[in-house]
Order: sequence, then structure tokens, then C-alpha cells
Amino acid sequence: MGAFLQTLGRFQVTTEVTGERVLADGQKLQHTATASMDVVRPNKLRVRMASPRSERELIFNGKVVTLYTPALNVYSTAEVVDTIAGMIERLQEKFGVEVPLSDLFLWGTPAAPLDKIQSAMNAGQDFVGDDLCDHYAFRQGNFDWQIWIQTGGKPLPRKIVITNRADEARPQSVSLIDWNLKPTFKDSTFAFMPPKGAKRAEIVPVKTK
Amino acid sequence: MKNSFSRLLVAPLAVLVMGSVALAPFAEAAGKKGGGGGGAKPKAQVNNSKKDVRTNNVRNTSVNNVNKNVNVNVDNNRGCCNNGWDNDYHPIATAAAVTATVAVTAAVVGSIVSAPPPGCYPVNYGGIIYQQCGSVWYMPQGPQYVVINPPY
Repeated sequence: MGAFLQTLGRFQVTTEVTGERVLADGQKLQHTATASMDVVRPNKLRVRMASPRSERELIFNGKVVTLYTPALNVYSTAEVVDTIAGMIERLQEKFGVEVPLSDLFLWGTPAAPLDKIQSAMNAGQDFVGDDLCDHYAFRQGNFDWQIWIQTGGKPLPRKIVITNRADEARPQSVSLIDWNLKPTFKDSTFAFMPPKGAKRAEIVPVKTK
Repeated sequence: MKNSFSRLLVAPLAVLVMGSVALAPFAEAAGKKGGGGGGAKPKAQVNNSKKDVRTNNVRNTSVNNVNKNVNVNVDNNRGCCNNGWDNDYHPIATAAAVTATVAVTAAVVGSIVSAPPPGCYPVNYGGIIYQQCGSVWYMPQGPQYVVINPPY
């Protein structure tokens, strides 16, 4: 799967995540969010993220990454001359901003080392939507994770479940993933033009410990 | 599905029904900016005014990425919870809203206004857009703004 993902040059991914928050007494609340991504490897990405709390966009043209909040008509930019994976890492490390499904850009590269996996098992086959998938389950540190990979010639990840065992309430996320390997977007989608009246917000690096 | 993002999703889970309702204000916001579905009927705004304050007292969350979260220390620099792309929940802001005691200059932390006063400017910290007005910070909460303790 990782090797196949790395061969995809131009694609569109949509995902819906269901996550959990654990309250002080162990009660859990579930929340959902959606995202869609237009991708051109190695260094172009546009992400639209929506949740009940906010709608955000990320536009990366290989040199500059822009974060845009449509509801406020506010955008921020940061210079990052890098690949998509490198940009994602820098956003996370420096600015504390995470990108959906960042694993997609790491699987099949040394940044996703297999030797970190402590246990792996084939959990048989299952359906995601109408598509037959191979189901695998892993243990890795404080995390258990499962992946459903489409069976056949296009081994795409279709579902990912991650369970955090560090908390006895075991908060879990479920991501469903849909793929379009023949996308119709144009390259202009990776060029951000501030809408009329848009304000620029300074982006402040997150404080380190 | 009138939301321009979610129409791309094949959604086998009933959960999406909740999701589509919850996404409503942003579909509307996108429509105002000309980015929406073209004549789509505005949907209802999310209204959290009756939300129990205990929902803000979060000790942990799920995570969304395997490699980041497994190979890197999960504890980030911003406390317990702000560690997912979907998770713009802000522990500082909400903790402030819960306590709602200390007055920072004129604005009481936790108080809600319809718009920040003039002279504020937007600041992006951790992917969240705040409004800074001197030493007073506001965080957008739906169509309103809540006064928070400084995020950094």
C-alpha cells in the first residue's frame, strides 16, 4: 500500500473522521469533521477542513503555505520550500497545525518505519462501502491501529481506526477515506488569491516546552 | 448535501447525518463568500448556548494520524487536547470560559460579545484565528466572540 501510494502523482481524497474527547470523569464525547484534499506530488496540496467549530483551508504551492479561514475572511502565510510531507512536518512542529491524513504522505517512506510496529495481524477481509478490503491490526506503543486496504490492484487505505491506550477510556478515531485517482481540478487551485477584504493574520510559532 | 465539501464524500455512516447538520453555518458562510453551492438555502446556525460547561473539561482526545502520534511524543506543547486536525477545541479558551472570574483590564474572561472592539487584529496561533486587542484576546465562537486568557 505504501509503495502504491507513493506512485500516485495527482489525486483527490475525501475523509470523514469521527473522534472522541474524554472528559475529566472518563465520559466520552464523540465529534466529527470532514476534509477534502487535492494533491499533486511532490509539493502541491489544497485541503478543506470543516467541523462544527470551524472551516479552514490550507493551500500549498511548494513554496508558501497559506491557512485561510473563510468565515472570518482571514489568512496567514508561511514560507515552506519543501515536499508535502516536509511541509506537514514543519506546520506541525513549528506552528502546531495538523493536516488530515498526514500518514498518506509518510507511508512507503522512511518516515513511517515498520520496525516501530510491535505486533501485526491479518484480521481477514471486510467491506468499506461496497469495496472489499483487507483488514490489518497493529500495536505500536500506546496505540492500537487498524487499517482497511482495498483488495486488488489498487491497494488504497479506505478506513483507519486509531485507539489511544494511554488513557483508560481509550479514545478512538475512525477515518473513512474516499479516493479519486482521476481528479479534474486545475493547477490554479494551488494558487491562493486573497478574497476581497481578506485580512492577513500573523502566524505565531507555538511555544516549545 | 449542500455543503461543498461533503458532497464529495460517500458517507455510509449515520454519523454523517449529525455532521451535515453541524456543518451548516460554514456552508452558509461559504455561500456568502461566493464559494458555496450557488443558491443553496442557508442552514441553521449551531447554537451552543445550552451546552453544559463540563463538556469543556477535556482530559484527553483521540488521535488521527499513526506515524505522527506513534513516533513522536504525543504530548504537545499546548496541553492535553489540541492534537488533531479536526480538533480546534481550545483548552485555554474553554478553561477560561469555565472559570470566568478574573478581569483582564476591562474585559472579563469568559464574557461574550458580538464583535471585538475596534483596533483588534487577527493572530493565528495553533491554526486558530484569535483577535488580539492590546492585552485582551478574543476567540470566535460561532457568530460571537468570547474573551479568553492569552493563548501564549
